[in-house]
Amino acid sequence: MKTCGRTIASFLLGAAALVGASAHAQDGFRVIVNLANPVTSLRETELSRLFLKKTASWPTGAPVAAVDQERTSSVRRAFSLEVHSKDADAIVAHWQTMVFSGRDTPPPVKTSDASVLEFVRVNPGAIGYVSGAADTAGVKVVAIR
Amino acid sequence: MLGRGRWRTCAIALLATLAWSQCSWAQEAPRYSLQGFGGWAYGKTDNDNFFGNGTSPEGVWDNYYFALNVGAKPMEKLSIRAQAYWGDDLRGQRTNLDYVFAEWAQSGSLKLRVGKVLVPFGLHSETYDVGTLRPFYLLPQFYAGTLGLIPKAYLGGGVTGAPRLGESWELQYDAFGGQIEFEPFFLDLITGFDPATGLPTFSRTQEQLVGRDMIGGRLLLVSPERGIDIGGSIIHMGNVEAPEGSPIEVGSADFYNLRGQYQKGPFAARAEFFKASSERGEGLESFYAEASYRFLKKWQVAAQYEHSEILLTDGETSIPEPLTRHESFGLALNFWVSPEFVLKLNGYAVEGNMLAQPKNPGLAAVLGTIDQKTGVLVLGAQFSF
Repeated sequence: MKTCGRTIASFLLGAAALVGASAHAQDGFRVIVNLANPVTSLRETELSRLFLKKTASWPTGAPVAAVDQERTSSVRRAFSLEVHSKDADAIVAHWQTMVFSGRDTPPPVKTSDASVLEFVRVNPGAIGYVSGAADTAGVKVVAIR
Repeated sequence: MLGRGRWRTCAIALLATLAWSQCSWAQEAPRYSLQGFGGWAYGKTDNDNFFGNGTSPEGVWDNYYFALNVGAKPMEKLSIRAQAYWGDDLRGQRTNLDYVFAEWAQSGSLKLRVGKVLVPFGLHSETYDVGTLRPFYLLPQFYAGTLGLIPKAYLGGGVTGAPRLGESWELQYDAFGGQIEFEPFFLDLITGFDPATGLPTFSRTQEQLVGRDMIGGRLLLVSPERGIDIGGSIIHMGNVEAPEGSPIEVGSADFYNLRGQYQKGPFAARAEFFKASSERGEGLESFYAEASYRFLKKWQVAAQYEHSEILLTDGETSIPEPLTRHESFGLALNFWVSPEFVLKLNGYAVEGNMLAQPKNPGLAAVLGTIDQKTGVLVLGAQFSF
C-alpha cells in the first residue's frame, strides 16, 4: 500500500511538473531592465532595435547593454519570433553578416535565466529577457506594447 | 602605402594587443570578440576546363580556407577590427589580411572608419568567404576575383551609418576614399603569330591592379522587418595602375552595382547587376539572380542564373570571343546542420570560357578546340563560429 501511495505521489508530482513546464512555455518570455532604468514599456520595434544594437543609448543617455540567451533555448526562439519577427537562426545569420563585415558584434550570450538576471541587476544600462516563470526580483519587468 | 608584409606585422601586433587586453578587462560586457569561418570543397569539371579557382578536370581536393576575425572595443565609441585569411586552391596557398581598421561610432547614424576596410559594394562584398551566409559554396563568379576586377578592400577612410526612416525602414549609407588593391588575376593576350604555323602566340601573365584616387559610396534602403534590402554603389578611380611592364592600360575607371534582396522565413531571393568601365571604353558587365528555399527545417534548395561579359572597344581582338563571355545555371542542395555549419552539393552548367578555361585558353579558343560547355560539380562544407 505504501509503495502504491509513493507511485501515485510520484505520478502526481511528475504530472505537476509537466503542467508547470507547459505553463512556463506558454508564458514565453519577459523583458527586464535594471531597476535604475526609468523605462517602463517598449514597443516591439524599439525592442528589436535595442537587441540588434541599432539603438545605442537610452533616453537618459546611458549606453544600452543588451544580453541574449542561447540560440537553441526556447526563450530565445520565442523572443526572436515575437520581437524580431524572425526565427533565432535568421538572427544568427544577421550577426554573422555584421561580425564578418566588421560592422558590429552581437550582444553577449548568457546560458540561463539566472545569468541574464545577474547581468541586468549589476549593469544599469542592461536589458535582457528571461522565461515567463523566472523570479524577477531585483530587476524591472518592462511591458511590451 | 604599407606593403603586404607591414600589414601582416600590424595584424600580429593587433592580435597580441587583443590577447593582452583580454586579460586586463573587467568581467562585464565583453569588449573583445574572436570569431571565424572556413570551408572545404571538392570540385570537378566534366571536360578540360578549370572553373572558379577550385574545380579541375581531374578533381580538386585542396580547396580549403580559414579566417579569424577579431574585434576590440577599448573605449565606448572606439572599435578596432581585423580579419586574417589562410587558404589553398588552384592559385596555391595564400594568406591575406582581409581588413584592419579603427572605427569611431559617434552614433548609429555616423561612424568614421580608417585603415584597410572592406569595400561596401555588392551583397557579398563584405562577407566574401562566409559560406554560411549564402546557398552556393562558390560566390557568383563576378565576385570570385578570377577577373581581378573586384574591389575587395580599400586603404583610406570613410563614413557609414544607418539613420531610421520611419518605423520599419532605415537608410544605410557609406562614403569612402583612398585606394584599392584588386585581387591578382591571370591575363592571356595574343602577342604575335608563329611564322611557321601562322597560329597566334599567347602570353599568360599574373596581373594585379591598383586603383588610386578612389572615391565611392553606397546607399541602401533596408527593412529588416520586411526582409527587404535594395540599393546600389558607385566607385570612381582616377587612375588604375598595372605593374610596370604590364600590357594593361586602364586610366580612370568606374564601378557600379545595383542589388536587391528579399528574405522572409524559408524563402530568399537576390539579384545583382555589376558594371566596370574604363575611360578607354573596355569593361565588364555581369548580372545574376538567385532564389533559395528551406524545407524540413534543415534542407535547402537553390537555383542561380549568371551572365557576364567582357566589353571590348571596337576593333579590339586581343581576347578571343569565347573568352569574353560567361553564362551559367546552377542548382544547390544543402543540408544545414546548424546556422553555423552547412553541407553543400552544387552543380553548374556553364557556357562560354570567360571563367571556365583549359590550360592554354587563348590558343584553344583560336583553334576552335575549346569546349564552350562545361559541367561543374562542387561538394563541400562551410562553417562559421
